[in-house]
Amino acid sequence: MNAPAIATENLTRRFGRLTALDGVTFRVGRGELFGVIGPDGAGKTTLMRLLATLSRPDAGRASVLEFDTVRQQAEVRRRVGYMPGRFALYPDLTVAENLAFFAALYRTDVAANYDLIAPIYGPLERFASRPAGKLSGGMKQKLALSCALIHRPDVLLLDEPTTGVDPVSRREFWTILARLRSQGMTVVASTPYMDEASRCDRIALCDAGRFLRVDSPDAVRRSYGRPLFGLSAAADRHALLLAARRDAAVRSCYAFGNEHHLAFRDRPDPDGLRDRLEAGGFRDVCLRPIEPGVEDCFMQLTERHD
Amino acid sequence: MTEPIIETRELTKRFGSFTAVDRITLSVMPGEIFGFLGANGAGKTTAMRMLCGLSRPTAGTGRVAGYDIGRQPEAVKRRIGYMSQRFSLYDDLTVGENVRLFGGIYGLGRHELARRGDELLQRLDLTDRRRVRVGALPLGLKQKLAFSVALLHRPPLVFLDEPTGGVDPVTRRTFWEMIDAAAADGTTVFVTTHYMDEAEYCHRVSIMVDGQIRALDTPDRLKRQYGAASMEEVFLGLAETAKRSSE
Amino acid sequence: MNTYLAFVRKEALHILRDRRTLLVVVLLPIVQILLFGFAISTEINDLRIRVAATDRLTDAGRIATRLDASPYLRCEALDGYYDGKNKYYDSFSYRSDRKNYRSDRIDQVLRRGEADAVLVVDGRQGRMQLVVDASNPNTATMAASYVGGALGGGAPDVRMLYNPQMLSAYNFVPGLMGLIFVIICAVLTSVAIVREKETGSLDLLLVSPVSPFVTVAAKMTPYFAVSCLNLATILALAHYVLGVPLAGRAGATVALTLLYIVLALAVGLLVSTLVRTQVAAMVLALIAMMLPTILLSGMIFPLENAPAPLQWLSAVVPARWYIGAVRKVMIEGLSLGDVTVELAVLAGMTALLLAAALKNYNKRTD
Repeated sequence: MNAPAIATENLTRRFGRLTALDGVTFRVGRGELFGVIGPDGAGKTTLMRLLATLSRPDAGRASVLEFDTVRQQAEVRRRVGYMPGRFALYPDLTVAENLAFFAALYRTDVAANYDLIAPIYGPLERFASRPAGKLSGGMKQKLALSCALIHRPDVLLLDEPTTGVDPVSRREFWTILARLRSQGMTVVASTPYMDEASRCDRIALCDAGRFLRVDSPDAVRRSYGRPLFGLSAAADRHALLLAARRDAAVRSCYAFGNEHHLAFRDRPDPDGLRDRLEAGGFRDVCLRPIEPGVEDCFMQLTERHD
Repeated sequence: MTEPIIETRELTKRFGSFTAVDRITLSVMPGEIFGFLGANGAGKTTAMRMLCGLSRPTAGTGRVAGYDIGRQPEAVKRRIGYMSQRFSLYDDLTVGENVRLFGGIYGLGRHELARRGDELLQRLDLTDRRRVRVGALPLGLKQKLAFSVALLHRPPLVFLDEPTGGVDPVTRRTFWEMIDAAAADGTTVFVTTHYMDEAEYCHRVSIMVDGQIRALDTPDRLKRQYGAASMEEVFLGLAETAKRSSE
Repeated sequence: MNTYLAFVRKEALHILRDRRTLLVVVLLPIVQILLFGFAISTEINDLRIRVAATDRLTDAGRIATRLDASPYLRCEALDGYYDGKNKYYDSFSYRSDRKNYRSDRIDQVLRRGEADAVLVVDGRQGRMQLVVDASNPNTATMAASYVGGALGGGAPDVRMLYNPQMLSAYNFVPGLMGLIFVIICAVLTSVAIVREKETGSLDLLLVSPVSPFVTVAAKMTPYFAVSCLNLATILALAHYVLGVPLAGRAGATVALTLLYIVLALAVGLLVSTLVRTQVAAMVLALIAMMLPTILLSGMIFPLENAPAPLQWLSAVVPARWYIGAVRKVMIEGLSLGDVTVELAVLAGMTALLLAAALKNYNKRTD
């Protein structure tokens, strides 16, 4: 197995009394699409900034392509493309000027790397002379990605590229990332959307500065470790949820769209629960076994955490 | 029959030659949870600003909480609650100060404000943290507090603009339980979200594409109509028909 | 080098596209020079002087003529009139037996604002006394010196060096230069850098392999260029419009100013490393640089009269050294060799500020 693209050991970063990243150890293989998944406050941005050499760890270490992010900053910087969560290009410069400037920063030019960014930058070309600040959200994001890719980085670090973006653009963005990975690039992207986990080769579920689990999405789902049921009834979803939670046999019950996801404390007894709920006045109670998703696992993991 | 709390007819907003909102007609009944979906740039925000009385329609009419949004925007504003992901509460003020501030803005009397404020803090288990700055609260709790504050003056209708963005899954669900509870009390909830599972929680959902409402129905009927397993599929199918590249 | 040029081009575009900055940068020096030169000039034209003699024998008319010849003074008899042809009438004279009349009358004239000063000439004792309305000390000082100047040797022995007519342009041009470069370099540069901090683009620059020195140098280049342009404008305006002589030492003035510009840029950079928001940068740059420049540099308020602690404090205000040196070089015509102390102090400050700024900048942004 060749050396990992990214390796961290007990990586820790504090801001005053807050420990934003708390002893995180993980590895990302070369050519992997790796997702860092967790809510706000999980430490995603802190981790990205540490890997991008924008910040120094208080403890532990991190390396990118075997270069230490503190001692060999310059080596890391040359090989990494970084896209911050907020739009950080120059709004008063045009699309083309932004791209040309970032190319110059890395001592290269747009023409030499056009093939790499063409699928992303292509739709933007007709706006080449428009100020970047006047682009729509989706366009800005594509321009930012083009700028992060213009020097052909080996490792791409994306901090919440899909936050606040609608489902259509999100899906499109992940397709782009998958294409980059298939070209051999290592991609690390963070996201608060649990449903994006399936797009990644491996994911890290994180919360409050800690990694709860690092594995492939399937392995994470399998780790749920108990049968899960989808619960629905004819009417009053909210009352059904509360009633199910009050039941002594129920370990957890959460709303998931039009169904509640329910796990039993001990041996599953769906028929018994159905009878009890119907006796309580609910009609057409339906309990069907379902596959747990990454979000179910995340909630299970954070429960244990508390 | 009860009157709809939101009713628009051919509501339109143009900016120059660009039609951001194109003749939308919808009605929302009291106590309903209404999901207002659409891709970025579809015109959601502009439509919502008109309904809140922040922006005047170019054409068409709309009545919100019994007042005309074009002619009586001030009356509309007094009767609605509003909360957005971007700004909800002042981070540098304490929990108690925020509650007092927003209660005061909506003209609650001193005693009324004190009573409802205490009640609110108790419900959120924040009584001990009354003197904590809002910026120091976890995001999820902050959003729950913001929602409660938006309901402090008991508006019949509350607008929520992506209230759960970035919030952890557990808190996201308790947030929706609060929405359910508010709706059960008769408050109408008008909500936008990018989480498609949340669209399933809504009583009815509209999907905007290119400034127009392309679909409006209950999630179940929409899924049946489009032969889709989830609202996400319905949304993606519709949003892909967009001609207007989101510029 | 390519990176550097791309950087400079980008900075230039920022300036060119931001109308407000551009306007400030181009118009500020011109407006300030013209404003100070004409509108808020500290010189006073048409000071009204009344002349009175202590007795009939004193020839006050001759003195009045001399005063009237000054473009700054308008002369009249205390009680009487002047026919415009050197002819003063009897009423000039003052009768000593009516002492009270004199002081009452002078008082009256000054209080009513009919005159700014009254010159009492005592021919028999060969003495003159100027009674000045000092409610506005500035006007009073001016009146005293104008009259003194106009009377030449015959008056209280005042000799004005270098600025014999006490033209305020000589005073304020160096002062304005001290101020303008602080605004353009320190304030605008710090705001420009902090703007990148605010939008997050600074992070993108930091993660690139470009050395921070290049970033900083490139960031400053356009402002340096703009400052040079401003310097040329100011010197041209000062010389051709306001008639400041430049004393044949334009080269030295320019050299001195270039050093000062670099210093101000270093201050801007240092400020930008200390704050997070553009507003904070603006406030800090203004408080740290502009106020001391106005108050403690001798630009407006003479330092000689300041309490000792303020004088000590003024020693750390770069503008004090710069303005002092420019006055010497530009107005007095001294060479750079005569302002070595100022040069050394300015150079030392520049080195210190640059070192501190670069050290801070090199630290990462969080």
